[in-house]
This record gives sequence, structure tokens and C-alpha cells, in this order.
Amino acid sequence: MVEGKNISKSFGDLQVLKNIDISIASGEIVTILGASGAGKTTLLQILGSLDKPDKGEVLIKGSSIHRLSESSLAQFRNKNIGFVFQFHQLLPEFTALENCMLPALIGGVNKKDAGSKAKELLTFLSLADRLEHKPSELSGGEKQRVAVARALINDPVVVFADEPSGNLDSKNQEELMSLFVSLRERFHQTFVIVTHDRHLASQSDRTINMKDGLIVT
Amino acid sequence: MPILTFIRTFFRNFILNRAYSLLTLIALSIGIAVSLLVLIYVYYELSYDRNWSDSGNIYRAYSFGDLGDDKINSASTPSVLGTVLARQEGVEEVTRVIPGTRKVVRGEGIKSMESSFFYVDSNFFEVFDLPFVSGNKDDFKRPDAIVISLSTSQRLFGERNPIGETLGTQLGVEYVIVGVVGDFPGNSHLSFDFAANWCSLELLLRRRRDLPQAAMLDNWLYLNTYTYLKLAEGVGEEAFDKLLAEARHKLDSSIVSSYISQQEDPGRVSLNIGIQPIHDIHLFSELENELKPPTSPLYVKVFTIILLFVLLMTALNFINLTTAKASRRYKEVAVRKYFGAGRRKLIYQFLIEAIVYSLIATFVALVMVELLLPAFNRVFDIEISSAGFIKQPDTIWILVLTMLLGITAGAYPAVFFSGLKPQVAIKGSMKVKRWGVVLRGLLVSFQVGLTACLLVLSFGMYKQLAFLRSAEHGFNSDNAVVVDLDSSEEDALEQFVVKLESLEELAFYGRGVYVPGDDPGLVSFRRSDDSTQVLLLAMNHIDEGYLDALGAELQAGRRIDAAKNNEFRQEALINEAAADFLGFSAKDTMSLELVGGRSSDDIQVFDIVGVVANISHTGIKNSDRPMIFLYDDNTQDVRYVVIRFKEGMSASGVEALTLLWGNTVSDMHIELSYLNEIKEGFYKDDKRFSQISLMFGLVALLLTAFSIISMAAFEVQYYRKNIFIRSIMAAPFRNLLLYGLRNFCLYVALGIAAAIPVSDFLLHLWLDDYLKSFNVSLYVFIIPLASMLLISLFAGFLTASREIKRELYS
Repeated sequence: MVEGKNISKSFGDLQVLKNIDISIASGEIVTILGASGAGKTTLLQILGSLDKPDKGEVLIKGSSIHRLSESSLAQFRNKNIGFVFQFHQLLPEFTALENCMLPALIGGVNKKDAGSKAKELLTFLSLADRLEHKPSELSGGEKQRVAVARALINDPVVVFADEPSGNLDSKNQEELMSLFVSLRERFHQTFVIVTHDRHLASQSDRTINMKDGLIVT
Repeated sequence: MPILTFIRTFFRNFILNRAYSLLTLIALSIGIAVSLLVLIYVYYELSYDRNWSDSGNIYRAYSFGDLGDDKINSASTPSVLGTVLARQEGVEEVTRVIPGTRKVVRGEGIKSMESSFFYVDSNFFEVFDLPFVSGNKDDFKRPDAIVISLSTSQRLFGERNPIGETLGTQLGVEYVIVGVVGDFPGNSHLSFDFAANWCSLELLLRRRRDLPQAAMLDNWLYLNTYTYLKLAEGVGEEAFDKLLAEARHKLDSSIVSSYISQQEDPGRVSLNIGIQPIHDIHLFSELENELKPPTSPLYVKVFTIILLFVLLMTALNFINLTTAKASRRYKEVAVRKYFGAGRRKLIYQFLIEAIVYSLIATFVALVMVELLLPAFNRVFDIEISSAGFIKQPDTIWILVLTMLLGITAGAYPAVFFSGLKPQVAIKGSMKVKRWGVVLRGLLVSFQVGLTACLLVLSFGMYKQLAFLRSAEHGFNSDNAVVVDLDSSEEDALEQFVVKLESLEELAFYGRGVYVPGDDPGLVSFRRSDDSTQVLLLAMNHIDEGYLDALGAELQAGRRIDAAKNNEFRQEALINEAAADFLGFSAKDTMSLELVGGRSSDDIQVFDIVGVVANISHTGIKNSDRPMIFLYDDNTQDVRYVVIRFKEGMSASGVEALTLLWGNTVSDMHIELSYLNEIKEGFYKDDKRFSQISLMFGLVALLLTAFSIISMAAFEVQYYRKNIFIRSIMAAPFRNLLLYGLRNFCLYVALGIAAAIPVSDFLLHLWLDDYLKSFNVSLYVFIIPLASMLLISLFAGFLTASREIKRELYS
């Protein structure tokens, strides 16, 4: 499903990733664990098509994504990849429903279809009564659930989450991980989650440990 | 995503950041409003005399050549030229305009002094198709026809239809009103209240050769007629000149025979005729005797540069204001990019936002223009109505301009935002290259410097205006008025003048043909002891009280002794400029003879007996004209009486004077002007230019203030992390403020420093046009530059203080 081959990346003299090979199967929940500076976020950005490796390639559904043109890559990202961030990153001027619809609208889905799909997802995530609320009117957990719904709206092949629970209390952290599991069961969704929380990592199918730009286990 | 979604996003962002968005909108609206006003002015100046349906084929003839040592370069031509040109091949119509003197117009229940009275040929309205509000142009063929303008009709007849009414003038010719035409458009070099068929007066003058006006008939040396030609399609200026050159020998023979009849040596006089397109007159004519003072094309160029500059400043301000708070939009851009929005789509979104901004700003600007137009018309001395400007083609131009402005201003933010890396932008930290920061700073320096220059120039102009007003003009303008005597019957006037002496407020009074504010006509003289040289002197006829009433001092010699005058020999005074011109000193004796007497036996000799101070007639920015004063105390000949009141009795004097006029010359309003107002009128254009400069200075100040605000906000955003760290380390707020604005202060100081030599150069360049100017001291620079510096720092520190507080406490 998602495959990284021989990925290397440097920033100036500092080599952040060193010949990384990684493979993630469909429907798998994988966590990438490591200390600050281990290179886990850089790896996530390269796997998520936001950055290019200096060496190596990334295949998603068999396509070598970094060979695509900028506009094709943007389209590919829209259709096949979802993102969840540490700080939800909802747009303050939009309601929960509109935030959720945003990737669908960017992808050219008409407003009606995008709206009904967003409602369905938000209802599944227990936010049916919060559709018209702006982010400032939602709790931290609710914001993150809206962010998860937004990541799922285009039925992506994989969802990349960068420290998704970093800004949540322990109760919401547990709930978020349960949500990922239930989404995998319901939609057969693949998740790649970057975290430094070992407890969270323990709940995933597989944990990849990184240190100094290398996968150590 | 559909456009509507982008527009909705725009409005939501606008409301979310309403204070800053409103500031951006106001800056854009002011920029567009000023651009529109300047555009309207440039458009107006370029549209002069293009309203006539055949304006491309209408030309005006002009005269050039030599008269002895003087050059002829006049917009007016001999009246006889029209008859000759009408016979030329390629000419469809010739029509003439002869300005009449100020005269009393009488009708049933009407008696009014009118100064805009013209005589025109009967085909005038065939060439200049003014719309007839009532009557029709065919009736103007009758010899006694007169057409009046709509505003004149309303002024004299109110709601009454004036068609068929009779109007009489001082020469005894009676005219019948056959039409009322719409007023001449403001953007025409022609304008009149009355247009009488020339035919009646011409017939009268041919019968009454004794009348002075009869001299103009068939006289090639009498240049008082404006001759317009409508050329056939395809016959341009060059082709017509060629045709005229071919017919030149016929013209020459007419001219030469005219010279001979006027006792002029044909070898000393040469008169040539040229033509110029009517729409070039206003901007490109360099001829004398224009009906309306032309405008220099330099103004149009300067205003076009101002237009481009204001547009540039507006666009830069928009860019600065939209990107100053960029971090607030970074996350939005990042999220959109994360979820697959391509760069093109983001550019599209930001461009649409810029265009929506521009369209709203244009609407606000149009409202501003509507409100400002009356004041703008007053300052620029033009007549533009918003309804006249906003016709369909212009509206399209406004929209095009707005769209262009939107696209131009939106292009940079669009490229800037769309080029952000999402993984960097999502953190909300500002990543701007150092050269970008420097460029922004230099733009602020440029705007501060330019505004400072304009403020120095405005202040300099104000000082020069004050200097001109207070400078020596050769007369004392305080406590004196001028009464126009040209408006009523001789007997009544004589009675009025005699009774003047009974006013207890009166100090002096005196009469003259010209007073300051008039431009005395030039007359040709020869020295009695040197007949080879023609000397052109401005001539004024005055009585014995005139110089005292004006407060003009005798510099040398003595006054005229009228008792010594006879029909052939008279005493005369000259001014200092004439004394220099003629090389006259009080110890000398000098006599002048008038050139062009009626016969060789009829030579008039003038003995110069004294020298008077230069009495300025048009202001001291022009050199003083050599002038001769002759004695005349005939009320019918002299047009004005100058009355000087005793110190502090001016107000009651005017009251008594008006009462006296009412009692003696009861049928007309008194035409009274204060000498102070006349003097003020000399500098009307300078005052206007100074107001315009101040106006643009203030606009530039306003636009620069927006730039300063955005720069200060940007600097705080740029250094926010450092400011935050310093704040945690308990740095006092004052230090945070100084740290955040240290570069800003440097750029403001740079702008002010650059303004010093530039404004010094420009001010001296402008003052070079004046014969006399004020002493440019240091404070002329210090006051405006210090004001600019203080305003910049105040606006910068206020903005930065607000931004830092927001960053620290949010």
C-alpha cells in the first residue's frame, strides 16, 4: 500500500534520514516512535508527498508519487492521502461541517455530495449536533474529531497523523486511538501515526522505532 | 472550488480580521478615489473641444509674422481673412468669432452689464453644434438674430421663454432672440453668454466709418477676430497649408494693399496665416490673445505621473497590508495545500479576493468622488459632473482599471501565499527572505521621502504666496476700491463722480482706462528723434487723481500739467520699466510719437515729464511692462474710478458709495471691486497650485501612513519570537517596542534624509519661475520634515505597541 525505498534526506550538512526502507499494508495502524530529532516527522512528510527525498522513492498504491508533476501530485494527495495534525488546524472562519467538506470541495466534488458525506462522517464521530459550530465553539476533543472527519472525507488510501494526541488530555487521547481503531474496522482505513507516546504506540498494530535518521526496530 | 466559495471565504476572513481588513479597504478606497479624480482631470484636459460632432475637421486660423522688431504670434486674425479663406479649395465652412466689449444689454424690464458678448457669423452653429434648448439654428440666418445661453436665459428671463424678445446694446443695434442654447461645455476654449449675428454690426460699421470699431473692417493689421474653418474630409493641416501656399500671391496682394492704406511700410511688416486643430488649442497653443488661457501639457504629464504614482502606492499598500499579517493566513494556505489544493487554485483564490477588495473599494471610492467633486472642481477650476463622467464607456474603463488594480495588487500576495511550503506554513511562523524585508523597508523610505518632499514644496509654496502678497506692487491695495463706470449713462456718471467729493470717508479718487487686474493694450510709438524704431508700450489714460488714489508714487520728474496739452502735443508719464527700456532719466527731455495716426499731418507727440513707480497689473511674478500714462479726464473715455478711503473708514465708505451710486445711477448695480481682492486675483493660479500641492501632500501622507502601519505590523510579526523571548526574560515593554521597530526607524530616517536634497532642488526649480522669491531658510525644511518624522514615528509606535500587546497576551 505505502512503500518507502532507500529514503535519504539531508538539511544542509545534517542527514536526517539515512536509507530508510518502510512498508505499510492496507488497513494497518502503524505508529512511528522516536525522540525529537529522530527524523519521524520528516519521514511522514516525505511519505505524505509534502517533501521530496534526496534519494529513494515512495510508492502509494504502486505509484511513485515524487515523479508526478506538482499539479498531479496535489490531485493525488487530495484523492489518496488524509492528514491529522497535533493542533487540529481547523479554519476559524468555517463551521465544523464546512471544515470537513473542504478537501472534497478542493477535489471538485459538488457541494451537495460533499455536504452529505461530511454529515455522515461527523454523525459517525458523534458530532451531529455540532455541524454548524465554528472551531472556537468546540472542545479540544471535538475539534480533533472534526479534523479526523476532514482527513477521511475523500476516502483516502492512507491517513498520516503527526502527533494527533499531543494537544489532548489523557481521556481524549484514549478516545482518539479508539476512534482510529474503529475507523479501521468500519472503513478498512490505513493510519500512519507519528508520536513519542509509548502508551499510544502500544495500541497500534505495529510500531517503528527511529533514532538518528535510522529505523532501529 | 467555485468563485462563490472564494467570495464567501473572503467575507468571512474580512469579518474575522475586521479592523485590519477595514484598514486595507480604506487604504484601497482612498487610493482608487484619488486615482479616479486624477484620471477624471487628465481625461477632462485631453477632451477639450472634442465634443463637436466634426471636431476632427475643425481648425482655427492664427497669425504670425513680424511687425518691425516685434513678433506677431496671435490666436486672433484679421476679420477679412474669413472672406479670403471661404474661397479656398478644401474649405467647407468658415465661421468667425469677434469678442465684443463689456456692454449694457437692455430689453423689456432688463438692463444688465454683460461681459461675455460675442459676434459670430450666421453659420456658427453649423460648425459648433451646440444643442438648441428652444428656437432653432436656421433662424440665426436673419441679420438681427441673437442666441443666448441657457444659464443667461434663466438669469435674465427666469422661467419665461425668451424667444422673440428684443435686446439692445450701446451702439443702438437691436437684436431678436431666436434661440437658447445649452451652455458651452467647460472643456471648450470657447464660451459665451450672447452670440449676435455679426452681419448687423458689420452693416452698421460700414455705414458709420467714424466709429472706432470700423477700423477693423478690411484691415489686415487689425487682429481681433477668431477664424474657424471646417475642412473637407481628407484635407488635413498639411494639405491645407499647401493649398494656402499656392493661393499665397492673392493673399499677399490683399495684405500689401491693406498695409499701404494704413501707411505702413510693407517691407517692415509680414503677416502669415497658419491653422491648428481645434482640439490642440487648449494644451498646445503657444499663441497670444487666447480666448481662454491654455493649460500647459506639462500639467497633464505631471498628473499622469501622479496617477501612476498613486496607483503604485495603492497597490504597494495593499500588498503590504495583506502580507503584514500573513501569519494569520499561513495555516489556511497550509491546510488547503495539505488537502490537495494546487498552487494555481490558491493563486486564483487570492486574486479573486484582491478583485473583490478592489470592487468594494471602487464602490466606496465612487461615493468619495461624488462627495469630493465640488471641492475638486473648485480647486482645479474645472467643471466636471460625476454624471457626465460616468457614461457607459467610462464606467467600463473604471471597471477595467479596478480589475487591473485588483490583479496587480493581488498578484504578489497570491504568489507569496501559494508558494509557501505547507509543512512550514502550518507552524504559522513567518519565513520571509532578508531581501524581502529590506525591499519593504526601502519602499517605506521612498514613500516617507516623497511625502516629505511634497510637504516641503507645499510649505515653500505657501511661503512664496505670502511673500508675493506682501511684496511691493507699486500701489497700495488697502482701503481702496475700484468702481466700473462702463455701465451707465454719461450724465449720471458725471453726477456720481462730482458727488464723490462729498463723501466724508474719501481720501482720494481718480479715473483711468486701466486699473491693476487689467492688461493694458500695447501701442506702437516712435521716438521723435529716431523714427527707425517702433517701440511697443502699454498705454493708460488717467486723470490727475489716479496716482494718489492708487497710492502710486512719482519716482522722478513731475506730474502732468494738463493745461499744457493741446491736440497735437501732450505731456506724459512713464513707469520705471519704460524709463529703463527707453534709457530715460529725469534730466533728459524725450518725446514720443504715436505710430499709425489717421494721416501724416496728424502726428501726436508726447513729452515725457516724469517717471512713476512700476504699477503691477498682473502681479510681480511677471516682469513689469514698459508703460506710458496720458492725461484724460473725460468720463466717457475712462472706464474706472479708483477710490481711496481714509484709514479705517473702508467699510462705511463702501456703504456710502453704494448709497451714492443708488441715488445717482439708480438703474444699475454698482460694479465695485476691492483693490485687495484684485491683488489677490493676481496669484489665483499660484494659490491653486499651492492648494493642489498641499492636497496631494496630504493624500501622500495618508497613503504613507497606511504603509507605515503595515510596515510596523510586519516588523512585529517578523520579530515576534525574539520579542516573545525578551518578554519572558522580563524586558520592559519600552525595550520590546524599540527592538521591534529599530529597522523601521532606520527606514523612516533614510526617507527623511533623502527628502532634504531632493526637496531643496525641486523648491528652487519651482522658484526659478518667479522674478522675485522669498529667502529660503532652514525652517522651510525643518518644519515639514520634523512633522513627517513625528507623524511616522507616532503611527509606527502606536501600531507596534498594539501588535506587541496582542502577540504577548493572545
